[in-house]
Amino acid sequence: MIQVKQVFHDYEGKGKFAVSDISFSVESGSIFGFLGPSGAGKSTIQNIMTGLLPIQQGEVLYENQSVRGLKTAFFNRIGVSFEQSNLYASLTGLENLRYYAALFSVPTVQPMELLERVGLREDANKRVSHYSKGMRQRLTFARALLNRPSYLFLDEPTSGLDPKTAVGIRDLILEQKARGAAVFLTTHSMELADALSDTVAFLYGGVIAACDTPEALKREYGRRDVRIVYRENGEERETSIPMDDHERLSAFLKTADVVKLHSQEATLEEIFLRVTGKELTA
Amino acid sequence: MKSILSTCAQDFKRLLTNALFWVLTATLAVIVLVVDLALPKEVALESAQLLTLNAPADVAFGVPAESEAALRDAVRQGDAIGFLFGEDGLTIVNPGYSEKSLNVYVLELMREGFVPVQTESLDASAKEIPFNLRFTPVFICFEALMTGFILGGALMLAEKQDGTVKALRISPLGAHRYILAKTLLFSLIGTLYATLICLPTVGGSIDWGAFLLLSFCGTAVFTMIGLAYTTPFRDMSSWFFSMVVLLSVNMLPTISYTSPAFTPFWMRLIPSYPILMAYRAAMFGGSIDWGYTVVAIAAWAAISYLLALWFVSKRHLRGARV
Repeated sequence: MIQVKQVFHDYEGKGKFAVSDISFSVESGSIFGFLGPSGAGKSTIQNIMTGLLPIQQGEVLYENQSVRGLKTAFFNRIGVSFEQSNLYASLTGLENLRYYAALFSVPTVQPMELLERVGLREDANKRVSHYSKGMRQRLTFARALLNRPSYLFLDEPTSGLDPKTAVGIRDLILEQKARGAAVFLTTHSMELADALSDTVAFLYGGVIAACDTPEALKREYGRRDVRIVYRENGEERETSIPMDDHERLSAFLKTADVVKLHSQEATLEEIFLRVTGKELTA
Repeated sequence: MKSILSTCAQDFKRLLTNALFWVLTATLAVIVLVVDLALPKEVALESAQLLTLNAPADVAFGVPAESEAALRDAVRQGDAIGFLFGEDGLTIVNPGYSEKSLNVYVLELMREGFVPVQTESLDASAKEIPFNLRFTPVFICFEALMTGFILGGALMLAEKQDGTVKALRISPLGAHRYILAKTLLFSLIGTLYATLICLPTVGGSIDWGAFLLLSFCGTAVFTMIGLAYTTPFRDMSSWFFSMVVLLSVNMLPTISYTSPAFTPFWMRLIPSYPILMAYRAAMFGGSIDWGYTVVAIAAWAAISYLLALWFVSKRHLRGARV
């Protein structure tokens, strides 16, 4: 389990905090979706959690062990897929994975097996400088899985991928969860977070605006509607009525020439808008 | 060890696509060609015309000048040296040669019989070094041994520019193994380059044990200094120009190499000094203080490792543990 406790970070040391009072925990065998627009402080938190940024205030604990005192060997248990793919462009995809695999002192997954899973088997011996952005993204993701990490950090793992490849990546993320990894998923894709996360946190302006399971957030902040397609004067029209407005719903159904009825649940996108008052944009 | 060897192997593959690596390799070839083909084994006197005036009858060299004015004109206009014999002794009129060059001329004239001279060396292992080979240790010291400094730095900067250093920071590699991997790789390359310069120029009759050890340890020292030095830089241009300044300071021992009489204490503190002097002894014989050489190189190895460890762990791989 990863615990983040009251973390603050001020890049310039002038009292202007990039993130303030951030607290949450990521259980082993679960996916924690960390949602927020660009500049909200998502990367700052991830960098603090992975030790890339020193902790100024607060605490990050891995199985009750502070990130401040982590030894080199700890990094055998961590995997990070960065949003900006950082690979050796002059090496092939396979060489990149072999290079990183050799850095670990724990058993690693066969690089070719991972390349197969992310759809890069046929391009394994091609130099990364000849890879497209999406291919690099997949290779970066594959690299994060080499050591079967107990703690997996994923930053926009499906950004820029075609829908079919994105589904494959989602399956792999769910496999990591099933294996028992604590997955920290940083994204601004509400759809991805909704589909994968056990818990989500909305980060806005450097503070957590809401943090709970997607279902609980929808219950608390969402509004379930019934979308009704009806015919009027020979034309099809559409309206939405809150599901709990029984009186209005009943009256409408009695009078209207209903063509279609759909129950409609609030999306995380809408909830984010309600919680923060701002739309979630990349 | 697996991670060190793997890092070595992958860094070598990266080197093969690095332009600087091929520039240094081409420079190696140029050095060998210059030493073997362009430089003479001896600097001959025939290149200068020797003019004499009022020379005694037993002087058997040079061409008599018509007058002192004609002699001075000839010296002023071309590559000639004038010898004015007078009651006060001999005056050598020259177009502006250094004292050292003039001494060479005078010594050669003496050998040719103007004044009978014999030399006796008390160092039995010392032998006369052909002119074209005199600078081979200098070329090795400031080309082959600098591969680690230059190419190690270039690889580090590339890691910053393509962001791979961020992935290394959250890997279990650590600063210690990072330094060892790069130092091992470049020490091997530096030793190979030194051998490739030495064999076709000086040949195989040298003290190979000392030569290989010097090449390996020397490159290791300069690689680690290079890793420490490069860490604060973000881009190639600012690093390259400041590096040239540092390398120029490191080349100062060449002065003591060519003029041993000038060896102030501070010169001995420059890391290339003991290596350069030891190279001469390993390649051409002659006695040096090996005790000082070993202590100086070991001290620099320790200092450069500590510097590299500090800079790499605190800056380059900050966040990663030692």
